[in-house]
Amino acid sequence: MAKKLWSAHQREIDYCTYCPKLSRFVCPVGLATRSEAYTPTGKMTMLHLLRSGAVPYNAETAASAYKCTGCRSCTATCEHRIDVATVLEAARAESVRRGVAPPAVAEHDARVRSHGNPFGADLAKTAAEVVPAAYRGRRAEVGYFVGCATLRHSPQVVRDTIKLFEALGVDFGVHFPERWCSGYPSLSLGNVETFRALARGHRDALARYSVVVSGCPGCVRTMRDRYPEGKAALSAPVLHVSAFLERYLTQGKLKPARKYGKLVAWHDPCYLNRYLGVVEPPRRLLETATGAPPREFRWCRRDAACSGAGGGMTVTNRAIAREIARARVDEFRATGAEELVTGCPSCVRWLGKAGAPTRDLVSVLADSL
Amino acid sequence: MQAKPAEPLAPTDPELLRQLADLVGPENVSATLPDRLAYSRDLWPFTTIEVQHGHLGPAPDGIVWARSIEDISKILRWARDRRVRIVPFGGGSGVCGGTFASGGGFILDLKRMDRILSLDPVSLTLKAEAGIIGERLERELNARGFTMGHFPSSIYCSTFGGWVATRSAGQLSTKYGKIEDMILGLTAVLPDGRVMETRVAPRTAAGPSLTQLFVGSEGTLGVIADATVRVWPVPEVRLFRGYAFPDVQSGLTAIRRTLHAGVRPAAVRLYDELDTFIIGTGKGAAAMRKDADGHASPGLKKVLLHKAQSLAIAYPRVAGLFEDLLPETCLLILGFEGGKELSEVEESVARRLCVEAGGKDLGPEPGRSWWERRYSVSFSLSPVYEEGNFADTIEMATTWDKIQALYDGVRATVRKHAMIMAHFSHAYPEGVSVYFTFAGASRDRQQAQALYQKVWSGAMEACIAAGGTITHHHGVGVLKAPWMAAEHGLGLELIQALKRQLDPDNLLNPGKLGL
Repeated sequence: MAKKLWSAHQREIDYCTYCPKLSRFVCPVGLATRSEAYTPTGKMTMLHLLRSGAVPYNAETAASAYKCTGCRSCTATCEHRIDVATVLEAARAESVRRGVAPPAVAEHDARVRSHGNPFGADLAKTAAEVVPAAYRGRRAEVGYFVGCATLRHSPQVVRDTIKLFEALGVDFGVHFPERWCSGYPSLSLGNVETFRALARGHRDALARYSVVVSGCPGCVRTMRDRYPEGKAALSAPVLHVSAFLERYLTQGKLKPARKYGKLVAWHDPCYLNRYLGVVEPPRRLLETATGAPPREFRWCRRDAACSGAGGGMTVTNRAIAREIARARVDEFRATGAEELVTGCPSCVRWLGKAGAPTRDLVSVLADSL
Repeated sequence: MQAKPAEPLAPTDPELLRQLADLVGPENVSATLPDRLAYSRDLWPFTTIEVQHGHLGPAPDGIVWARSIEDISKILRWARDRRVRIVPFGGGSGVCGGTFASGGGFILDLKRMDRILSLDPVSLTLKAEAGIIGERLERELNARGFTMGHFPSSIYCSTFGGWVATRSAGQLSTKYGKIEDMILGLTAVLPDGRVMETRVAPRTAAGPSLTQLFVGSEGTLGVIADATVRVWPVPEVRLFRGYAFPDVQSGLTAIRRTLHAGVRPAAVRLYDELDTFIIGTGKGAAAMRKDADGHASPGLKKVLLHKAQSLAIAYPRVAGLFEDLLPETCLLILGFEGGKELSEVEESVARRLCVEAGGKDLGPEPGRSWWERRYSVSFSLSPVYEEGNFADTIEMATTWDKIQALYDGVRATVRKHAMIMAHFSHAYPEGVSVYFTFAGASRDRQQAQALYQKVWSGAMEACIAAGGTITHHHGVGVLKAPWMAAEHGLGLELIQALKRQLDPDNLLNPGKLGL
């Protein structure tokens, strides 16, 4: 299998190995660790050395590939558009196959397999509390994919999303599976088989909708772009809630009854920004809700810095992920805003834990109705 | 390429690791294999050839990160007491092998000291810690309305302290100066751990400049902890003009007359025929289409050029024949920036002088195109190495009366072994620097490295014979150390005596600068 890894990504590994570290200045892990080993060049050079047989493929050398949030900041900077995150993700899958992945990866897999989510939590109970029975699995034009992180950490966002959809007259049902995880965390940690099982589990139930909408950009990206690899391609388009709601804004249907009172700054989630290309819609929505464009971070839009919550880093490299969040929160404070608003449940939670007053975009919109 | 498994690295003395961890905290010490391997290379192409063939450079025993001046002091005192070698490290972006722990020892990484300490909007001075990455520093300054005006092509990966330690130059240096012109003061930790802070003043006559003693010291005389430099307001305008000259000589004449007229362009770049052909003029730049994110992507011309380049790299003598067929065009780009009124006047005067010297006015496009792609050359290294080739750059300088001889001499020597082209930048009233790019090919590691060494030896000897300085802004490291005696004569003994006085056991970055 390693041969497949090396041959599929030969060019990417070569280019990054010989790159004069040109994306180090945006790599959140490189910046947090300040180590040459964990710049994109450093991590890809490790793959080059493993490929050439110069160093053994073991737990110590495999650990490098786990030091990536998957934020794609490096790709955005690179003139060759090398997708480092995807190559490192493939390396993590290889490490799982070889049995040299960090122990936390297997523990994570066990939780997902037993509970259908990475938290090992009983999410059915929470789901029953926040999703009215009438919407559960309802056949409709729009399918709302909640995602495990939102359900676990921000159940109010589910209520707010339903409130918004109701107010806008959206014909929707809530996808109501036994296993709430889309499979993104498993995929990012290298637990490919588990990802595939989760993807196949969602595929049939989601087939009843014309469009699938989620507030989790990691889930949207996974369902849209990665499910085909798990032989679970969805027939319906998958949209982030901000891109979906922008249509209502354009049509003049989304009209806030009152201005949201707090001064807000918008944090671009990596998956929303650099994977899905959704940059302006949330800003326009926020401006509508608050009456003013949101404050911008110093590093925003294409250059936006990561929260640290992606790539399974909170599972395998928690201290580094915390440091990344701390730097982003410092940046937030420099904006002078009162509240950090974003459109990703993992960013909301992780930046909140790092000390920022965070809020989901949907909740801000719901408050302004 | 498949390599034999490397010999396992010798384990690091656990007692040394424990002592260091006691000094600065265990989170600031590492001897993991990924870290030791990562710090076994900087961007010296000789070691990139090693890596290309699956080999590794000399690995340090470990890495220690300083978070403060006090940390640096403690680490250096500890190293002196235990006779442990220490190699100061910024971004590891040097291209001369200046950060190798060749004989073992610890890397002292300064990137955890990366704060802006003060920005004085009245005196226009900035004080920052050594470890901040250049691009992040410049963007932070821009957001506050200022610029350092320092744009080395390594800016994405190099550090502020590294710029000082290696005597760095940026692409707009003809206006803003080199790092030695910008620096006003610094804090250096001496090899025995004592801290020396030089006075920040517009100028001083209190004996030799101790600030300048450390500029270009490459981590051999002390560890630069922070520095104070000049900054400028973000320019009101940025103007460019391109000119086509029939040959290098007439282009150089135009630059010289412009400088002698008292005009100070920010950017001065004269490309020889081959370099002009490779980078393209305005038309060539227009052939580059851009995607939605503004990234350049190759057009047909670029693909064809790439093929021609590959052929020329593999067969340098063919490249020589190819050069004879090139159109006789040398592109000159001049850039002006600052206040609108003064920049426009300077641009106007320079335009008249360039046309008088035989230049054909190409308008602003070639310069704008260069500015937008000014770091592209760094991205172009990867494809060269990926195809099994190698490339490097040689930067020298001399006075106007000797520049043509230096240019001709180095090219004549190098083109026997590799494809070579050049551009002239960093102009002064009294002379100019020349920046050669060469590329060679060999599938065998030892042959590639032998070829690489031949190119460098030939170039250095040709430079010395022509009366040039062996390095304009990349520094010395281990690469150019053998020619330091020819460069300095008796002066090298003075540097060596100073080194013995400060660091009698030669523990701080040994082997660099010929020390």
